[in-house]
Amino acid sequence: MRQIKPLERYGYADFICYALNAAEELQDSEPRNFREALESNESKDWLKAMNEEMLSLEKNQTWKLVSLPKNQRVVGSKWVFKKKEGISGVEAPRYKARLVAKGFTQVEGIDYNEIFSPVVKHCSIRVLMMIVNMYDLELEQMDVKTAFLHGELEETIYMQQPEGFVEDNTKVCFLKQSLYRLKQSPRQWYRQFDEFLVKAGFVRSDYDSCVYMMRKNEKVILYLLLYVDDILMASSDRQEIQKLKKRLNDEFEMKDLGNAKRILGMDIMRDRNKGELFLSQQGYLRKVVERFRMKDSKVVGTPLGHHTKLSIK
Amino acid sequence: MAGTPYASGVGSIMYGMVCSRPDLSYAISVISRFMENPGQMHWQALKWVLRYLNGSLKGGLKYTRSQPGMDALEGYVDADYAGNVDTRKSLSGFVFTLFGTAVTWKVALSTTQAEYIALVEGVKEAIWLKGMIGEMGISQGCVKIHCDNQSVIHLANHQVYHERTNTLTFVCTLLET
Repeated sequence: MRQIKPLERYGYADFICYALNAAEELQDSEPRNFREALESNESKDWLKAMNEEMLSLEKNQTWKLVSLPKNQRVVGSKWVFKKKEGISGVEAPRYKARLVAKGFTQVEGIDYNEIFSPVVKHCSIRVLMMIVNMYDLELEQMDVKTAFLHGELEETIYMQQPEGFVEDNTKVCFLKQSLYRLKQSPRQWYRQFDEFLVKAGFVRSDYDSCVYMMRKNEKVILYLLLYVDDILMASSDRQEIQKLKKRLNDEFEMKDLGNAKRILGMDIMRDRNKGELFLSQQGYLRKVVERFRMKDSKVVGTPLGHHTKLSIK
Repeated sequence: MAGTPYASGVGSIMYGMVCSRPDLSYAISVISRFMENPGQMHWQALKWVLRYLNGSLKGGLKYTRSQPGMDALEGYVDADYAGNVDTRKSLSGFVFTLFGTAVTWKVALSTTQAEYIALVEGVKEAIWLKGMIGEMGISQGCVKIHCDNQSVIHLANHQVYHERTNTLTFVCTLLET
């Protein structure tokens, strides 16, 4: 009698391969909620991360514990966990826990009104690059740590106490400052930052509300572009940039990234001797090509084949 | 072709187009029309774009210092009358360069007189850009917008655009035969 064998491709090696993949996924996976964090092998690290987050929220005076007034809505809250892989042997992995509000439970007109928040236009970035290159300006970059925690709330919002850190069962958090994932967080952050810049003497552009300028004297202008929490600064005077950085640092907690190298996935390459500036997305596009397994494809010279007259059918 | 990552591919390339690759605008505008129900032909077109990308990964925008006497801002508009096979809609597009390097670009579909719409879109962009660069310290008097359609040039130089011809002169050259 003919023996039926399983197909070659379902062989033993494939099972091993699958198992390894699955194991890797399990190992790498971050806890999805508070319970999983406690049950994971790294529960100690997660607890520590949560304690850190609680401390910074307390320092920031994000909320006040109050008893819930009658007929008031409560917005949920949850923990989000992120593990940043370090380099083995050199840098330990970092564990991050962030408390977020369940923004999807917010109701328009009660929990939030306006939520639009502008970001800088790509065109403005390119115009700035042009100017930077033409006048050989210094171009530096910073980003704001926990930007959204800086906004102040206009609406009255009550939120559940964070899981695992409930102090008094009968009370809820009355939010004074915004929190990640609240609908209005981006807007409130933008307003906060805008207010600071205007007070610092910057003028907001009429053409792009994320472009700011300050004329120091006849020769020196300070440019500042804002993309949510990414900041580009340009000026001919290095001192002025340093001063601005210090002021920003005093007001918000910032991370100094030095000379700008990447903005919005674009690599900025400069050759100041030659007076050239190059914007490209080589790294990003290579990844895209590899993801679609087209790395070894035959190269063509046009973006679309001239014979492809495409239609719906 | 359901289940293929068509939309994902178009989106990934689109991000490149928006940031630093104006050369992909037209291709994206074509392949992104079929997101809802892509067929084999469309998937092939997408792969063609990826092959083109594979050979031009290093491409991007290069900014150099300007030569004296060069116009700061210059625009180019064009249209493809009723080029769309399915809807007979027209395509219009523009590119603006600042000292020779592209700073803004767009390709869009429209239903009306394509060439004229292209010019209008271009002028709208020019007004914004002129203000923007003026604020940032580059002064520009008139903005040259290049256009290759005689009737539009005629129309633009007369009636409708009177209030704007003060700030924008249309220098029209034949870009294509």
